[in-house]
Amino acid sequence: MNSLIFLLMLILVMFSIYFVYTILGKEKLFLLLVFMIIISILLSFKTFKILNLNINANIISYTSIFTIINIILDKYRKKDIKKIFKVTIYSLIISILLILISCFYLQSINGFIGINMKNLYLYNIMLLITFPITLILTEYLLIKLYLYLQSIYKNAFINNLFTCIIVQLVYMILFIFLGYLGKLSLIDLIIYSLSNYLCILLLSFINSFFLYKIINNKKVKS
Amino acid sequence: MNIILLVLEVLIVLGIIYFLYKKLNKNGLYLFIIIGLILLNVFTLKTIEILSIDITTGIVINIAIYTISIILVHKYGFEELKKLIFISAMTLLFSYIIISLSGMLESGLYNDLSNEAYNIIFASNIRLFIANITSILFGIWINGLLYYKLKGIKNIIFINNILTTIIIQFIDNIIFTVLAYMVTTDIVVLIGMFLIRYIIKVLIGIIFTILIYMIDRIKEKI
Repeated sequence: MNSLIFLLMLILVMFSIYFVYTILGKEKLFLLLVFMIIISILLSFKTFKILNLNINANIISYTSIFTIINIILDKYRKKDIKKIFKVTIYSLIISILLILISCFYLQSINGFIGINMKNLYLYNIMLLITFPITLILTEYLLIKLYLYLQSIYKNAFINNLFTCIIVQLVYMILFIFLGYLGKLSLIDLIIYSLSNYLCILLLSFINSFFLYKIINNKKVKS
Repeated sequence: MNIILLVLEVLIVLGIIYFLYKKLNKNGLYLFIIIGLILLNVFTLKTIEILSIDITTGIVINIAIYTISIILVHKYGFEELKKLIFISAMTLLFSYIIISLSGMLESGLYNDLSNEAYNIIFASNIRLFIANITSILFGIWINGLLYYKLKGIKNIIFINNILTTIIIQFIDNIIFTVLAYMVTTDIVVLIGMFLIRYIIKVLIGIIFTILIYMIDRIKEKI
């Protein structure tokens, strides 16, 4: 069942990138970037099991952030990079601020969702802190590396795959290790990180192929 | 406590929207719309007590979205409203599907407390979601339309915004309260919820008129 839902989520995310890029144009990709960032924050609190591996639920939306950035970087303008950072930083700060405010409201006696919401966000405050830091850092690394690779070898598939392999390693070390520090034992942390990294590698391969196809698509709204 | 937080949230959201418009112009408003709509899917699930009556959180974001729709119609014309409706519908639908799918994923071994809280929050909330999506999309549409018609008669922001808020919030509240709580909640409680929600929303809507004036003065960077 989990594999099926995972596949469905992957198709949905890919379809949304394809739809926005081909129908609405490159400018609207920034809005999709915001969408994926917020979804990644919300999904990062859940762990699920797939093929006996424990995976963080946000990896599909998280890897799609990099696919979107790489699409933007293809035929990029210098102001695009500035815009990517602005949009990321604003989205992260605003959403986390609003989530925290909602947690501090005193819930009604009849409501039980409020307790769970508080449990979810305040218990995982380290995830809420490490996620933005990791995302900004990995975005910076990705942009530098992707542009460097693009200047020496013009193949979106290979460039995206190579950057993801390196950048996601940083994500795993920072996000999983710092975010779950104190909650999981060292062995569990290593196993959890490796499981996520393995899954991300697979996703990066699929995303790179998708990116290659989408960039070479001639029916794109300019 | 909740009233203080509500006032604080109003001020913060007001500042955020103004800042976003100054930095990113129209795209900044859309950025807030996307963040707001995704978070509304989560916030409407939590109930808080104000003046001894239960209401859902996310009221400030809800009103902010309506105010942004007025700003867009006021500054960019009626055509912008169609774009807004399209983006809002896509955001609400996609975010709900992805979040719900993630809630259906069988939990992994790590972070038990979070997984449990996550599943409780995002499982079986279809009724609230339908109430939320229907009231918001219909509300944004008639909100923009009414403001546009009123602007055609006399272009006074203050009066047009207050009139629009009073009428549209009444309709929005009826749709939301009936769809979300009818049959499961006692009629007296339902009327109480409706009245408190309506009064708070109208008051916040009036405060947000300042935002329309503030943004109206900003000249957009090209």
